[in-house]
Amino acid sequence: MKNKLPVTCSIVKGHSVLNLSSKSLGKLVKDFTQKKNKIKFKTKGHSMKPLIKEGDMITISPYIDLYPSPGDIVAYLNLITEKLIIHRIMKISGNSFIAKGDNCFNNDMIHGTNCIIGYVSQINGNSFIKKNLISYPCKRGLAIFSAIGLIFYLNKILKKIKCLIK
Amino acid sequence: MIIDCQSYYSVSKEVIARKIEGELVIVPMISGVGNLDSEMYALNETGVAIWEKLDGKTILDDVIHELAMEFNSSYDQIKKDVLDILKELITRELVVEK
Repeated sequence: MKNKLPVTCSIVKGHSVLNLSSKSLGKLVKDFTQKKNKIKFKTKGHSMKPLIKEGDMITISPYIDLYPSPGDIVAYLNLITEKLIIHRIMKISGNSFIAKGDNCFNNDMIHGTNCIIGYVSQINGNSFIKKNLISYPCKRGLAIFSAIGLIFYLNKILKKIKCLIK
Repeated sequence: MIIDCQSYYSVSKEVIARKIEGELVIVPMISGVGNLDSEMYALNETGVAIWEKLDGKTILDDVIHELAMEFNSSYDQIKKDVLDILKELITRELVVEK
């Protein structure tokens, strides 16, 4: 026997996604892409700077008639923590891949491609919109730049220059 | 809005719902895209009890009877609660009449 029914329908808007843990957000994103739907939300973290900044709105799309390839920015679930990670694919071999945040020095651990739940198809920043990211002709070049740490060091230099200007 | 207790109601196909930390998080889709920053709804445990019974196969009156038995409450009290939440859910297009 349950208690008396206290029904409430609370409506959450705006910054609600920030209250979701990365694990819960990952599951929600997976629900959408598994059903071949897209989902957009504001990002947290700095690992994909300068392309994706904290607070940018990104759209995650499912891979339909497309396959993950180096340079794609993918959403995948970490095998151990089950947290949602949005990083760039550096290398794919067979059924596994290595990803890395553009603003990170080290690669992520190897994951199976079955951990990939979608790719970033659009970024809505404060002053720009980037669409069709998956068909960017220079995405492989960006993967190489990211792999050798060029973007990471470039970010550091830009940060120092900004500090000096201030 | 008039809700007919002899009608069938079901969860809209244009929503994705998932239980997260004791609540049911509901995200509506617009043209196949869910936007977590514009609209996201949460139902508590008892709201979920109603949500799960809206299968489109049971008339609303039977749903209310079932809930009244499950929650050991009067039919009239449950009916009021169910109609209140149902109005809200229909207005927000999360539930549709079949």
